[in-house]
Amino acid sequence: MAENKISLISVLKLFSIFFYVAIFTVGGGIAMVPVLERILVEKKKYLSEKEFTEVFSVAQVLPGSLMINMATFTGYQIAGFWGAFLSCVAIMLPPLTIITLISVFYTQFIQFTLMKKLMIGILAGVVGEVAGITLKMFKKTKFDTFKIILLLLSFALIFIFKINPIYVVVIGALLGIFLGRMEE
Amino acid sequence: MLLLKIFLEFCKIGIIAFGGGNAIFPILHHEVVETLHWVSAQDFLYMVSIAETTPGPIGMNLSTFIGYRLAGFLGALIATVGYTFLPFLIMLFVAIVAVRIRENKIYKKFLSAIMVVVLVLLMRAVYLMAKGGFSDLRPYFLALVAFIVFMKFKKFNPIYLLIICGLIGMIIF
Repeated sequence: MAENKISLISVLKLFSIFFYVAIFTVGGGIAMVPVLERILVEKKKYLSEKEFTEVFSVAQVLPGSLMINMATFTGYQIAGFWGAFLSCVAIMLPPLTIITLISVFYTQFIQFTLMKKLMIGILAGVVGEVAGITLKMFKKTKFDTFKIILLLLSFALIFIFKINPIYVVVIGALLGIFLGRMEE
Repeated sequence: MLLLKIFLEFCKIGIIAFGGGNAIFPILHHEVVETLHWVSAQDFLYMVSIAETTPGPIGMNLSTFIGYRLAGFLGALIATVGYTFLPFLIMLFVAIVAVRIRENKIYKKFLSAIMVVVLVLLMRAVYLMAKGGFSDLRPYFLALVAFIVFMKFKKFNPIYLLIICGLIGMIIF
């Protein structure tokens, strides 16, 4: 009984966290990563730093939008199926309401330049925060020779050769399984 | 049955979406503009520009938008649920497996390599967002300030930081 109560509370908390975060996700699911890290790891301590990196990495390499994947994995990890389900519902609500409203007031919205400026400002903030979380993850990584080579290789494939990231992920995963070392 | 068609179409689009919003534009364009003729090319561009600058994941915003255009609110709901449906199932399955094999040697090796690739994917995301959304140097400067604040003030709520950036944007852009 006590256990049921705890999971009900955590499901509701997850719902509110993902709803709140989804409202401020501008520029794609990646925007929610720094925000979620601070809420789930540093403030609420729902996930350890390591678990968060795991959730994020696995969510990033699976098909489907990053945001849905992160909500599902985090939700499941913290509160099982209902945690996953309601976290996903929570991230669907802001687009549903906001875009529907925009669709209704379609023509009026076109002239709404102030709104656009607000959103570019938020996007600038997102870029700064995602750069921050990247640096943070970079510092946490224990680089050995294999990882340095993998990093340079992925960088070259994505930025210079413009290979579709999905192939780079597959290459990285295979190299890791056959040549990499376990992280302790 | 239009609603069923919308649902199936967005299930398909949802599963192709990989590594975040921008990647699905060409696919979505091919499906809804060229193949199905659900929206015109010009409307599509307009929808993309709105989806990029409104809250919510871009792919989901576009699904809601196109769904609404086709069949009103019910269409929007069906399209959004369709877009979410398969990734949710796959991710749920992977999560169920992942929490049980955390100590597995191959999974650990997989994870530790993937994390390195993800670092590069993050750099790419920063690059694409800045390239796509910033028209002059001012947003870059604001992004730099946000970066410094985010790194220096660990207790500061990142959402407040985003709101402040938005307000500054309204004044200086």
